[in-house]
Amino acid sequence: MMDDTRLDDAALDVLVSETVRVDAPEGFAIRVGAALDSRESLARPRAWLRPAFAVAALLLAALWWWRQPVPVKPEGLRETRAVAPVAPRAPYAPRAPYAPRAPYAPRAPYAPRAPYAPPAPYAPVYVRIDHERALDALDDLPAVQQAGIDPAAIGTRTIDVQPADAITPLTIDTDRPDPGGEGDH
Amino acid sequence: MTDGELVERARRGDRAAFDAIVERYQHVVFRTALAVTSNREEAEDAAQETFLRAFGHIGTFRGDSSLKTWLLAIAWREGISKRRSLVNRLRRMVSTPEDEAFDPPAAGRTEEARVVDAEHALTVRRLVARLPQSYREALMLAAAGDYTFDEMSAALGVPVGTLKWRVSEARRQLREKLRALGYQG
Repeated sequence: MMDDTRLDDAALDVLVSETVRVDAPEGFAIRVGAALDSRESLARPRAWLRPAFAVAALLLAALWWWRQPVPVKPEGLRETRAVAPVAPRAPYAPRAPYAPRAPYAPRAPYAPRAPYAPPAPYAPVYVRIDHERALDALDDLPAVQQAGIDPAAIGTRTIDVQPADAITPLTIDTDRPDPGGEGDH
Repeated sequence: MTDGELVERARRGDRAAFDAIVERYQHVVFRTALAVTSNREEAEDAAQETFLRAFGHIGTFRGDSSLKTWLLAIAWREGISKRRSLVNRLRRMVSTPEDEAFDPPAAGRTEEARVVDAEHALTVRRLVARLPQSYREALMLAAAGDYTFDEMSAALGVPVGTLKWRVSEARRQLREKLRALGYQG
């Protein structure tokens, strides 16, 4: 059998290391550089694609939302069906054939427009008010006389008022039996 | 030029600076992707995607971690993504991991030694491929020697203790399988 000392950790590591310690293939760095060049050249013209895709997606979403039918509650539909069954639809009447359209009349030529006349210059209007003028005399104001009022003219009549009875003082009879609280009413 | 200077220049759109980053980390990123995918073609694709993604997001790199750790995190995610893709799953159904040639380093070896090395490498690779996924990934990352456990922990979001335990468990299982095969080292 084999010697244990020949397979200690160090020997085993050397053995494994010789097996797994492999270098990258020849020209690997050049291959990576070429891949980087290729990716960079592809990435540059595609830089505008991302915002374009975003805008297109937004437009599609807006279009889809706009084309959605108005939602109807299913309960409402059920009730409608139960109460009023759908009547058979009358057949469509045949459509009248289209009348040939009259040809368009030629349009009258445009009359030449009068040349533009500039508006007259603006003349300001001044109104002079004399705030210092003397007021009119009181005697010159018109006097209005009050007309006399005739009672017969407005339909008045006399009323006889009976003289009131003399007021008798209030007396309380204390000999009556107590009704048991009912008398308080 | 330091990583920080290269990142700063790459942020300003300097392609030459980013090419230098690719040149500097191509092998590390490739090995990371290989640890996840266990497939050379998928690892190449994942590594390329890693650099493309890094170039696109270089502006978001805040420098809280090292550039290498940042690339490790991206490569890890890309590798997982490749591994989970439907096309690659179907491809794995018709091919076995052993079919993938990792080509171990052969500098300074005789032809006979290379044949033996290749045979050993194939054996180890088959056994590593049959390890549970989390153990295999941790072992391959650790054995590649590109990252410390702290860097792996920061990039993968796995505690250091868990990573060390996975590597230890992977070693134990691998050692048992090699012993079962009568491996003499």
